[in-house]
Amino acid sequence: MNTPIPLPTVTAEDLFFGLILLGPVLVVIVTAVVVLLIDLIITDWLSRRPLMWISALGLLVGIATCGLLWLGGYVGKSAFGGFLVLDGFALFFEALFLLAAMLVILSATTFADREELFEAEFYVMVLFSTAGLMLMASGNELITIYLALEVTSLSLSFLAAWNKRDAIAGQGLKSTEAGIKFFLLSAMSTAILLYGMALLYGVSGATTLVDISRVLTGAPSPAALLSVTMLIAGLGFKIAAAPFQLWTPDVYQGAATPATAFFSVGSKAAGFAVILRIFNGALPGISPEWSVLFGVLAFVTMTAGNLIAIVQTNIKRLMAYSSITHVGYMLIGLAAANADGSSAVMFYLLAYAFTNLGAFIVITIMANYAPDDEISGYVGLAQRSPVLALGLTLALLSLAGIPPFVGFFAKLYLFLAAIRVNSVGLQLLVIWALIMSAVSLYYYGRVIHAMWMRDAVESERVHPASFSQGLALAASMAGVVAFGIFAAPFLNAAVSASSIFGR
Amino acid sequence: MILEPNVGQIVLQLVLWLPAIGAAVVALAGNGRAEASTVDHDHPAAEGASLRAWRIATFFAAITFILAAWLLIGFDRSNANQYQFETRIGWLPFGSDYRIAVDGLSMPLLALNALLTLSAVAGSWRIAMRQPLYFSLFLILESAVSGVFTAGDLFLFFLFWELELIPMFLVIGIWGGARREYAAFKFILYTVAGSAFMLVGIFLVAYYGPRPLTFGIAELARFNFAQYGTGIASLGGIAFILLFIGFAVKVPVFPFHTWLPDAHVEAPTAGSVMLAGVLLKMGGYGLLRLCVTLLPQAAHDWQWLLIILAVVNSIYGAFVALAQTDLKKMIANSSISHMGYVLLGVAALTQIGFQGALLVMVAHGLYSGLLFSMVGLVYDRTHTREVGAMSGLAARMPFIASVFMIAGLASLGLPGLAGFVAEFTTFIGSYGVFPLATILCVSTIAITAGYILWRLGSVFFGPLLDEWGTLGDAIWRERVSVGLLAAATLLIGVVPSVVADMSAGGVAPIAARLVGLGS
Repeated sequence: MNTPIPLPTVTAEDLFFGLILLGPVLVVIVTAVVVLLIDLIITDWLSRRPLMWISALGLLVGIATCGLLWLGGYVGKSAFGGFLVLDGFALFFEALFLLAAMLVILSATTFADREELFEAEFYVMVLFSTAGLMLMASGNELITIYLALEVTSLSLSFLAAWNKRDAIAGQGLKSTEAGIKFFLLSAMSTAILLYGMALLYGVSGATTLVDISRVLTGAPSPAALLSVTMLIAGLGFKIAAAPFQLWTPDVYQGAATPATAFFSVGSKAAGFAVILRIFNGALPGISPEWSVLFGVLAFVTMTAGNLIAIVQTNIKRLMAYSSITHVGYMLIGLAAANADGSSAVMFYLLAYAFTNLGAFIVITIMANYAPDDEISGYVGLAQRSPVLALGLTLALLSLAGIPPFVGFFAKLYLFLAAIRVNSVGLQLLVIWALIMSAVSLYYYGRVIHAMWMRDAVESERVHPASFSQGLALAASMAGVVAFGIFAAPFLNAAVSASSIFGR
Repeated sequence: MILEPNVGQIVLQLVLWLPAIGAAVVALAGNGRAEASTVDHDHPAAEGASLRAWRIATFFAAITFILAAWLLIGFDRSNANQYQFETRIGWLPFGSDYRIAVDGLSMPLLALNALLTLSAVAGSWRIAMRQPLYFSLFLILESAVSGVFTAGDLFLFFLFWELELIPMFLVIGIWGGARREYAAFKFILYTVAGSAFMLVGIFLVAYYGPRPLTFGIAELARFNFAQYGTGIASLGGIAFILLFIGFAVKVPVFPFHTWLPDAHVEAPTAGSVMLAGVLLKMGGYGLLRLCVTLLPQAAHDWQWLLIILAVVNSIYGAFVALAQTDLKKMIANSSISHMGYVLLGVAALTQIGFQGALLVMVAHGLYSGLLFSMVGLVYDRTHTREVGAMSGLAARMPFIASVFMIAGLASLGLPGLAGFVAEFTTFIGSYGVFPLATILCVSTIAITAGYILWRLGSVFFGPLLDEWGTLGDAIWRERVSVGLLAAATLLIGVVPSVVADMSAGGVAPIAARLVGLGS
C-alpha cells in the first residue's frame, strides 16, 4: 500500500515547456518583483502612483498571455509530469483572477493615498497572492495545490493586516486583528486539509488527481470518507461555508476595503476552483457521498448567511454575510455533481466577481465619506452622487438576482443545472434557495432604500478619489449589465472548460 | 396605408427602445433652473420647478406616441391573428431568442401604453423634486411595459416584466404620500413573490414543451400540453395555476389585491395613472397570452375558479369603492371591480369574451388613467381628497368638472364612451356560458353608477364653499395632458372599430385552440 510517491523525470525540454504553460503566472511574479525593486530605489518624496499602473499593466499582459496560450493550442497540455495542467478550466480561472486583481489594484487609491499605508507593498502582495491563486487553479496534484494554497494564504494575511493603524474607538486595531485571525484560522484549516490529503494518499497511494480517481471507485472505505470530510472542512474555510464561516465578518470588516474585495472574490473563486478540481478530478467515483455533504452545507450556509445578514448595520459585515449566502447557492452546483453544475458554478463565480467588486469599489470610494462603513452613512447617496448610488444599486440588485443583471442569469443557470439532476433533495434545495433569494431582497433593498428614498444628511458631493477608481467602477458595471444579456460566450467558455470533468 | 414589414419593424423597435434612450438623455441633461411659470399660486412661497427635464421627457414620450399611432394605423388589420413587424435575433444558448412582434392582441395595449405615458409625463410638470430621476424612471417604465406587450419569447417576457418593478418601486417610494415607503415595499414584495411562481411556471412549460428546447410563445402555443394528462392536478393544471398566480397579483385578483389600494393612494398622480392604466393590463394580457393560449385544456379545467374569482372581484371591489370617502381610494377600488370584468371575459373562454376582456383593458386603461389624473388636478388645488370637504367646485373649475364627469360616465358604462362598448362585449361573451355569474357582474354596474354619481355630484355640484372660492381651473399643460385621454375615450366610444376589429383578430387563434375541448 505505502509505495513512495513516483517522482516524474523532468528533462530540460519538459522544464521549458512547463515554463511556457506557467507563462501567465510568471508574468505576474515578474511584475511583482519589478514593482518591489522600483519601490526600493525611488525616494520618499516621489509619488508611487506609477507603480499602480505598472501592476495593472502586468496583469493585463498576464491576461494577454492567457489569450496567446489559448490561441496557440496549449489548452489541455500538462507539464512537470502531470503536476500542472493548463486546460480550459485553469485558463478560465486564471483570467478571472487576473481581472479581479486588476480591478482591486485600480480601485485601491482611496487607501493607497493615506500616508501611513505602504502603497507599493499592497500591489506586490496582491500580485503574489494572484500568482498563488492561479497556481491553485492549474495544480493537478495534491502537493502542488497545497503549496499554491499556502503562498496565497500568507499573502492574504498580509493584505488583511495592511490597514494596521486603523483603530476604531473601543474596538482596537481592527485590521491587525483581522490579519491575525485570518492567519491563525487559515493555518488551522490548512492543517486539516493537509491531513485529509494525507489520508487520501494513504488510501490511494497517489497524489496526482488522475491516479487517485483510478483507484477510488466503488464503495468508499471509512478512511476515504474521513479524508473527504476533512477536505471539505479545510476547503470550506477557504470559501467561508457555514459552519466554517465565523472568521468572515470580522476579517471583512477589519481589513482595508480593497483587500476585503479581493478576499471576497479571489480567494473564494480559488477555493471553488480547487474543490471543483479535486472532487470532480480525483473523487468522481464516490460522488454520491460527497454530493450529499455539499447539499447539507449548501442548506446551512445560505440559511445562516441570509438570516444573519438581515440584522447588519455595517455594510462591510452585510457584504460578508451576503458573500456567505452566495457560497451557499454555489454549493448547490457542487451538490449537483455533474458537468452542468460545475459550469454553472464557474459562470456564477464570474458574475459574482464583477458584481461584488462593483459593490466594493463603491464602498472603497465611500470610505472617505463614511469611514465607519455604517449603512447610515449611505443615506441620501443618490443626491450626493447619482452615479455612485446607481452603481451600488445595480450591484445589489444583481446580487439579489433581479433581472436583467448578470446575477439573475448566474442563479438561473445554477438552479436549472440542479433541477435537471432529477433528485427530490436537490429540487427542494433549489426551492429553498429561491425563498432565500427573496429574503435577500430585503437587506439589499434596505441599502437601496437608504440611498434613494431618504434625504441626505450631508450635502457634500461624493466623487471617486482618482481616475483609476472611476475606470474600475465603470468596468465592473459594464460586466454587471452586459454579461447577463450577452451571456452566451461566457457561458460557453464555462461549459467547455468544465467538459474536462467528463460527465 | 399598411406599413411595409421592414419599416414597421424599425418603427416597432423605436417604440420599444426610444423611451429608454430618452431616459438616459433626461438623466444626463435634465437639470435646470426653476421657472416662474410653475410657481404654485396657492403657495407663492414655493420655489417652482425646472421644466427642462419635463420638456425632454415629454418630447420623447410624444415621439414614441406618434410612432405607436403610426403602427396602430399601419397595422394590417385583416391579418391581426398573426405576428407582424417581427424582429428575431438569436440570444441565449438554451432556446431563448430576442423576438419582438405585435398582433391584434398586443397592438392596442402597446398604443395604450404610449398614450398613457405621454399623458402621465406631460401632466407631471408640477414635480419639483429630483425631476431628472423622476422622468427617466417613467420612460424606463414605458420601455419595460412595451417589452412585456411585444415579447414573443417567454424568457424575454419575464425580463421585461421584472424590469418594470424597479422604476415603479422608486416612483412610489420617493414621490409618494405619507406612507410611501410602506406602499412601495408592499408593491414590490407582492409582485416579486408572484413572479417567482410565474418563473417556475415558465420553466415547467418550456421543459415539458417541444424539442429542441424553446421559449418561443408561438412554438409553445402549437404544442399540446394535454398529452401529459388533464385535470387541475396534471402538469398543465399546475403550470396554469403557477402562471395565474403571477398574473393575478398584477391584475389584481382577490385575494392578492391588497397591495393595490396602498400603492395607488400613496403613488404620485402620474404613478397612479401608469399603475391603473397600464401595469394592471400586464396581468390581463398575461392571462390571455400565456395562460389560456399555451394551456387551453388547463384553462378549461380551472374555469370554475376563474368564474368565482371574477364575480368576487367585481362585487367586492364595487362595494369597497362604495364605502370610500377618499376619491383616490374610491377609484383604486373601482379598478379592482372593473378588472373583475376582464377576468369574467377571460373565464368565458369564448372569442367574444376574450375580445371583451381586451376591450375592457383598453377602455379601463383610458378612463381610469383619466380619473386618477383628474383626482390629481383637484388635489393640486384643494390639497384634500376627502369628498366631505369639497362642494360646488364646478363653479370654479368647469373644465376639470366636465372631464372628470366624462371619465366617471365612461367608468359606469354610459353608451357613447369607451366603457360601454367594452363591457357590453364582455357580458355578451360570457352570458351564454354562465348566465348567473354574468348577471351578478352586470349588477355591479348599478353600484358603480351609485358611487361615481354620488361622489362626483357632491364634490362638483351643490353650494360652493367659501374656502374654495379662489381656486383656478386647469391650465393649458394640464388640459392637453388630460384632453388626450378624454379624446381617446370618446373616440373608442363612438368608433369602436379603432381597436375592436383588430382585437377580434388577435384573440381568434386563442379561441380556436379552445374549440372541441370537452366539458
